[in-house]
Parts: sequence; structure tokens; C-alpha cells
Amino acid sequence: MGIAVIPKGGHVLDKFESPASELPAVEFVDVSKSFGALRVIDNLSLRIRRSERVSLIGPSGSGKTTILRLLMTLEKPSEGTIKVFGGALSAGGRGLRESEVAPLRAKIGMVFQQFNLFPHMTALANVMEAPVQVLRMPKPDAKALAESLLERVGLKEKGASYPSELSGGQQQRVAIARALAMKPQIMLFDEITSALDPEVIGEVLDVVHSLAHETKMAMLVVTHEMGFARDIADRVIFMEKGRIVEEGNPAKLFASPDNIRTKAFLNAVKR
Amino acid sequence: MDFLLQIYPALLRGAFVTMLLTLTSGAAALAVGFAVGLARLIPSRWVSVPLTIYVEVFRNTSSLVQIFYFFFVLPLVGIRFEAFTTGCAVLALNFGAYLSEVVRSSILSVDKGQYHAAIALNMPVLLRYRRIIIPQAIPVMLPAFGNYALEMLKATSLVSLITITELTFSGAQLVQFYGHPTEIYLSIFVIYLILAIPFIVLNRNLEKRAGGKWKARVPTT
Ligand SMILES: Nc1ncnc2c1ncn2[C@@H]1O[C@H](COP(=O)(O)OP(=O)(O)OP(=O)(O)O)[C@@H](O)[C@H]1O
Ligand SMILES: [Mg+2]
Repeated sequence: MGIAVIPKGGHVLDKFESPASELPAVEFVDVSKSFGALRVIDNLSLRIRRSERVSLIGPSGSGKTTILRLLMTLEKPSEGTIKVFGGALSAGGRGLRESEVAPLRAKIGMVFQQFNLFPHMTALANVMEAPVQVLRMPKPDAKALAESLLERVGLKEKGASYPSELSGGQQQRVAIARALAMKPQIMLFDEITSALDPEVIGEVLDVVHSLAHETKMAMLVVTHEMGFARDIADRVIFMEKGRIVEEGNPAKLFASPDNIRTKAFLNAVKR
Repeated sequence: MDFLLQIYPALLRGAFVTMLLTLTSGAAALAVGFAVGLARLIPSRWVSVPLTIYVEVFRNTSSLVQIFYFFFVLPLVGIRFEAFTTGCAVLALNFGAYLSEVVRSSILSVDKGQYHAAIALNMPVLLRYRRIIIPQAIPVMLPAFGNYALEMLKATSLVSLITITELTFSGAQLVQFYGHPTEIYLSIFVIYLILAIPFIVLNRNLEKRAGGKWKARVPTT
């Protein structure tokens, strides 16, 4: 527990105050989330800089998915404030009005463990859907965009296929293209290879690596693939029971963690 | 044979009214079912409580009593419609209650991940339902819709009791006039079967289609 020293009658300085151009991409301030009596996120604070790549690791049930879901507005925090580029997604444990949230949510994209492609649309239509319907992009432009994105994830010739006609690895790559079509500045990846057969995991991770090289998006990556967590990230966060236990440089954290719980976790997953 | 030739124009007229009733009430029931089924998803008691009461009342009381009530009781308080309108309205409200449950449960059966994906793409709620959820829920609804269409065809005979001259009532009138109940009711029986054929064929097709290529191949973990 930190003790805040507030000068009597004085000005309370926000420790995160900074000029607009340096506003962090993501900011969690004292965020908690409970499901009933279960406190899943426990007074957690977190900042992610623009273009920063952060891996989030930790045992099952530690709250990794919940952090991504809070950021994607799929859940509301019970307490605390979540900001995206300085704009509040939720404050004081309450969600804000849709008209305020939507422009912020537009800056975030998410790729899910189960792909969640739209099964009634072709791969191309999946990628075109949001640009056409949400951004009101003219269809020919959206089609060109979708084709170039499918090419980028190595699926140039699969545009006409329905999700049910694609392998898991191909579906996940379409899902990445679909998220990219909205030109997010922050990408969330939630165990995007956990539902895949081992032989196609590589093709999906390669796509994410190339995105990391070729774009300036901030990335928040939840994964059980420790090699991937280390290679993709500028910073690794190890969390347990809804709290950050240790964070730092990937090479350092994986080679010689400071905290014994981090050490125990890394030993357990190595085996 | 001569006798059948003599009565068949009356039976044909009855069959026509039966079909008209089925299609009119069916279309209205579909509208009611969609409106109520979708509205019940709105998370507000002011909406859901009255609609739940409507659905339960119409599902749990006798259709015949509902028809009598609308035809004989409402005029007592000054609400008066033609018999055909009354018949259609009651059938539509009755079947609408059942169809709304089909609509609601089909929509709830769509994978939660589809909502999450739609929200992550920043789709506003109406767009989410119109483009993503409802198109996936409809194939789930279709087989049940087909069954209810057949039920509707059969249920139209109930409105014979409020003087609508559909197939059953025209038959009853013919029997009163000419006798020969065996021939007449056998003819009616056969006509109902013939009328049912398109619905049966439709059902076969719908059942085959349900799911189909839209079914997501989602790995189980
Ligand atoms: N909607 C919910 N209702 C109730 N409990 C929930 C809900 N969502 C998550 N939880 C609980 O919150 C805890 C944290 O879940 P979360 O999915 O964030 O963990 P995780 O770190 O992603 O785990 P995993 O590695 O298994 O994916 C778990 O105990 C989970 O059971
Ligand atoms: Mg998880």
C-alpha cells in the first residue's frame, strides 16, 4: 500500500500528468474488477506507452484476459479509471456514455483466442464489414483495403472462403486482418494461438512479429508461449491474483527474475 | 361423384379462405414474434415485464377461449371488428407469442464471441444485431417457423366457430344442407392434406439448410 502525501491546501499533482503528445496509449489507475465476491483485478495500475509492446504472463485465472476485456470495454471496472490516449473509457467504476467511449474504442483492436470470425461472411467480407458499416468507407475502397490486408497475412487467395472452409491458423490470420482494417493504434492479443494445432502456431506468430516490425501500434499480448512473450515485447509483466508481481525487460525477467513467485511460475511453465 | 362436383365450388372457396387466413395470420404472427422477441432482449423491466405477461397469457390459455373472448367480449366494451379481422388478430397474437420465444431463444443461442468481436470492431448495438447476430439466428429459427406454419394451417379451423366460412365451416354447412357427412368430411380431410404439402416441402428444405455452411468451425478447447 503506498501512502499518498498530500500537501495541506496545496495542489495535488497528478503523477501521470504530461503533455498531450506524450499521453500514454493505455492507462489503468487503481482499477479493480470483481465478479460477485471474487476480486479478479485488485487495485491495479498500468501504463503502456505509444508503440510499446507489452507481454502479459501469469498463471491461469490471474486476470490477464480480464485486463484485455476491460480495455476493450467488454467489461466495466468495479473501481478505478481506465484511459486511452488520455480519454476516459470508464471512471470511478462506472462506464461512460457510448458517444464518449466509441471514439476511444475505435483506437483499439482485439484478436481472440477463439477467432470469433463472422461465420456467415466470407474472409473478405469479414475484413470489409467494419470499415463499410462503421467507418462508412465506400465498398470499392474497403475491398481494396481488405484484399491488401489478406495479402499481408498471407491469405491473398482465400478471400472468397467462408471461415468454416479455413484451417484454424488461417481463420486466426483473417481475424488479425479484420482487426487491422479498423487501423487501431493499440492491438490486444488474447492467447491467439491457444486454440491452434501446434503446426500452425508459427504462421500466426510470424504475422504478429511482422506487424511489430512494420507498424507503430502499441501491443498488449497475453500468451502462454514464453518464447513469443519474450521476443515480441519491450516489457514483460508477470501477474498473479489480479496484481502485477513483477515487470521489466524481457531478457532480464526471463533470465533472472527478482521475485520468487515469478521464478516459480517460469520454472513451472518451462517443464 | 356427381355429388362431389356439386359441392366442390363451396369447398374450394373454403380452402381459399383457409389459405388466406393462414398466410395473413402467419405474416402478422411473424411480425409480432420478431417485434416481441427482439424487444424482450432490451434490459428494462418496463419493456420486458409487460411483454412476458403477454407471452405467458397467450401461451397458457386456450386458443378457442381467446377467440371467443375477442369476438364476443370485446364488442361489449365497444371494440368491434369483422370476424375475419378478429380471427386473424387472435391467431397472430397467439402464434406471435410462441414465435417470439423462438426468436428470442435463437438470438440468445448465438455465440457470445460474436458479440465480443462486433464490439471490438466498434459496431453500435443496432448494427451489431442487424449485421452479425440476427443473420446467424435466422437459420436457427427457420425449422421452428416451418413447424408453426403447419400448426397455423390446422389452427385456422378454430375460427369456424366465429362464423368465418373457411374450409371446416363450409364443410359443416354442406353437411347440414345435404347430409353425406362421410363424403364431405373425407374431402375436407384430403384438402387439408393437399394444402399442407407446400409447408411440408418447405420444412424439409429449411431443416436441411439450418446451420449448413454458416456453422462456424470453432475448435473446442
Ligand atoms: N464473467 C465472469 N464471471 C465470473 N467470473 C469470471 C468471469 N470472467 C472471468 N472470471 C473469473 O476471473 C478470474 C480471472 O479470469 P481471466 O480470464 O482474466 O484469467 P486469465 O488470466 O485470462 O486466465 P487463463 O490463463 O486461464 O486464460 C478467473 O477466476 C475467472 O474464473
Ligand atoms: Mg485468459
